[in-house]
Amino acid sequence: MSGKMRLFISGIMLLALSTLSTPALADSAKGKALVNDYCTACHAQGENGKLARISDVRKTPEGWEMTIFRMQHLHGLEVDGDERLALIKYLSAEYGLAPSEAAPFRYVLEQRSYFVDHAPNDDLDALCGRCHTNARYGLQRRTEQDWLKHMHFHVGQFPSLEYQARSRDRFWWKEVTTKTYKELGQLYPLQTPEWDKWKASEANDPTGQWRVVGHRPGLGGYEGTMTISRDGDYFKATYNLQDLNGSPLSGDSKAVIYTGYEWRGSGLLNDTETREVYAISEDGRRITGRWYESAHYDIGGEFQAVLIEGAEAQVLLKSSDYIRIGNSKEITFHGVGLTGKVSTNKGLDINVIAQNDTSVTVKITAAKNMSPGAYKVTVGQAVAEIIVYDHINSVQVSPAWTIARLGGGHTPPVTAQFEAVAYMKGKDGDVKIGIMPAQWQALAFNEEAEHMKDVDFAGQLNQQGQFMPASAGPNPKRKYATNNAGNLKIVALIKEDGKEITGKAQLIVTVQRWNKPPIR
Amino acid sequence: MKHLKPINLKAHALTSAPNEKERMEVVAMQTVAGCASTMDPGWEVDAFGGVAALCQPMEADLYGCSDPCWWPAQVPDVMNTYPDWDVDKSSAAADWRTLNTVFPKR
Repeated sequence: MSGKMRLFISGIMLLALSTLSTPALADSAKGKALVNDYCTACHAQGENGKLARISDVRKTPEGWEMTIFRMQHLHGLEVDGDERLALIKYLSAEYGLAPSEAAPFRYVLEQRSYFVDHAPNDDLDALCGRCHTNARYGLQRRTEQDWLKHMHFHVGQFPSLEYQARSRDRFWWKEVTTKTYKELGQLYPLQTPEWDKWKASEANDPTGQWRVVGHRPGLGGYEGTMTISRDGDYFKATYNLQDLNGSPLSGDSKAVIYTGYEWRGSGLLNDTETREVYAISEDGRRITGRWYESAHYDIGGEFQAVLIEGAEAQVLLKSSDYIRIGNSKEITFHGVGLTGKVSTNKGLDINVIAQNDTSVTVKITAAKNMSPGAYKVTVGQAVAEIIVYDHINSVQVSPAWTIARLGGGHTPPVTAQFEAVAYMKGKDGDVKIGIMPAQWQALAFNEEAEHMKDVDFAGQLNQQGQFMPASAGPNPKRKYATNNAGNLKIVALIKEDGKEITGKAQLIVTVQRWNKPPIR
Repeated sequence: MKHLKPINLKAHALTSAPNEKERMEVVAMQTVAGCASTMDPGWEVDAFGGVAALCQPMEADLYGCSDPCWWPAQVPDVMNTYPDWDVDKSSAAADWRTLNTVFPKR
């Protein structure tokens, strides 16, 4: 870094990647001008026009947000909310990630609390993964030399990492300055064909009508439509959705699209403040991701939208995935272009009750003499699959491992939501039937948890499979006045013909985090 | 024990306990300041995949993490990055409710 250091008074940390600030922003020229105004004072521009450090790095919008936060907090940068957003937009466009580069790590961007990520190898797990998710560095691209500078930054900013476990037992500094930075430069290089191709591609226009489906863990599916329109430099999404039981789920959001595909929205659904982390597909015809409550990132929904104009006929969501042999039930298929003839193969009996372009409701009967298996239902060109089952063979709890956090003071609790997924016997192992209602129970995971009475202290599991952790802080009623942390076995029980089938998961109830950046 | 001299209340209580049963009641807090940097068991999950071996209660050694910049990804380090995080909050066990998280709300 060189050039005259321009110091600004450090202010209170501003809104994060919020889209709620006023819309006086972010065309490319403005972003570039702001980079020249604010960044080049320290990040010198070379003869080739490249900026020191900045031009050697590519990141997600959240990554650039964290960088600008650090520049504000530690280096005196002072920008207002609109300028900060314009900077992030410009940097994400010039130095972002291609869709395929961000794809393996979207679980972190989407704030999923139940993912288990894996390092490419044990060394990176020890050196990076011991503090961060492996997505933290997987979502960055740098030149080899900049990865080396990243090592120097770490030891300067966080000097006691020298002594931490998994550093002190190896010649870590020698390792990261002779080997690791080269490895990261190979794994996550600055220049890639994917980015060159994406950066040169035309931006898609998302305005129009979209068919939306999704799933809220513990609550079930929802469906409806979304209208996207332009709103100055933003996009506005208006939602007309409903749960599969018919309850409305409506609202709107205001979004910025970074890097041509990274949709980040802020809005309201049923008057609850939400955040949206979606990715627009490379062909511009599909949007997928997750929305969550702004106050509770653990509570939200899966989201999928298909641009209606020009869409192929397709089923996107079923009100039920299965039927038991000998039974009848109504199932609604939600999708687009569903006006075609409804038919099925191999003996499922189907009667159409209602049909329009976006949904078909049928009464399905599975005859007693049918064989269990997957049966196709076609609606014109759209194809869906219904599982016909005889007996449940096993139950799996999803997620199989997750974490909840105690809440109190300024840190809200992080809940955990489980669902019971039934399986039947197949020729090559168990075949998924679908999510089923279950009875839920929390038990001690092991002898230590039994000894510490974790079940009594860690929180409550309700009969919808949601675990609400207990309050944070030392608990004088516990041995050692310890926190209400716990190690629990979550058991789902499904009864069928008097037989009980159970599945289990592990839930770690642990202490709060005090450091909450958008990429952890 | 005859070559060791008790120097704090817990050690005195231990040596003056008349029988093994009462010795087991001398527990005080499980961990004391310095647990994080000495034991280094992890922040949220211990080396055995549970929580029993963590420094607990967490508040007993929270400043033992933030002061020496231990686990700075989970706990604000007051050494370099957030020097004012725990100002006027001298006891984590008493003041934990007033400690803020760092990084702006999304």
